[in-house]
Amino acid sequence: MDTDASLEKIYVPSQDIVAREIEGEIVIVPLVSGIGDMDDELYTLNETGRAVWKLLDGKRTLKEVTEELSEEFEGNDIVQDVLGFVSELVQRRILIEVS
Amino acid sequence: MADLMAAVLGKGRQFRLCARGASMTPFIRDGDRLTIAPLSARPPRVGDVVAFSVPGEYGSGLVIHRVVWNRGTTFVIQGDANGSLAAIIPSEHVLGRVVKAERNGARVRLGLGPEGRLIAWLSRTRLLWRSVWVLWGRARPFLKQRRPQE
Repeated sequence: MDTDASLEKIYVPSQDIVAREIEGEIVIVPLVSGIGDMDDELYTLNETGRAVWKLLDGKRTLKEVTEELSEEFEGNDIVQDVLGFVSELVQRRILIEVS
Repeated sequence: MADLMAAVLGKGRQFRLCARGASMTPFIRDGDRLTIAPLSARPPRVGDVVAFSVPGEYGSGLVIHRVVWNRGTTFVIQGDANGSLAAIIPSEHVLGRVVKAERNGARVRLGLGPEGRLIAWLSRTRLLWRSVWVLWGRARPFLKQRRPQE
């Protein structure tokens, strides 16, 4: 499985996770073996991750996502940040590529 | 926590968490790992241990107690522990049913089977702890005999 994110591709949250915004943070629970286990690894997203997550709607390519975020996160290397973030989540099967 | 649980159960999946507090002692203890199943298989019955949430109440919003009375659109729910207060909960606030409890890696079955109905009845009639004390009184001599001789 190719886990390197590409700017030309579209990614969406997997069906095997649950994500909820709780007190301003996005918390992601992977459903390992069909069970959401609070003792297993939970993920919370930082400010950049939260902004990227909200744009992963199954319509925008990562290039479009980075373009939208470039103004908000001016000065950061947003392309590398987004690619790294998405690659990490694809590797953990939290995001999947839309074919 | 309640929000996450509702989301997971809403997908038809099970949810696992660590029990906190002593309100379900002795059947569920602080630190037990509980598996909660969605209610899609069947609605809660008297004796079931359920997870419920009432927004704005009960601190973190998630409580795990036993159904002691089914009143149709509401349930009377109470912890098994002595002194636990009963609450009337609208059925839509019940999120799921406890189907498995584990303690120190071993499955705990007592309190989650058909005997739950008896526990509910005893709780409802406030007989549970009186019964525990009677049984404890009868068991004490036996427990003393099992102590090693000095």
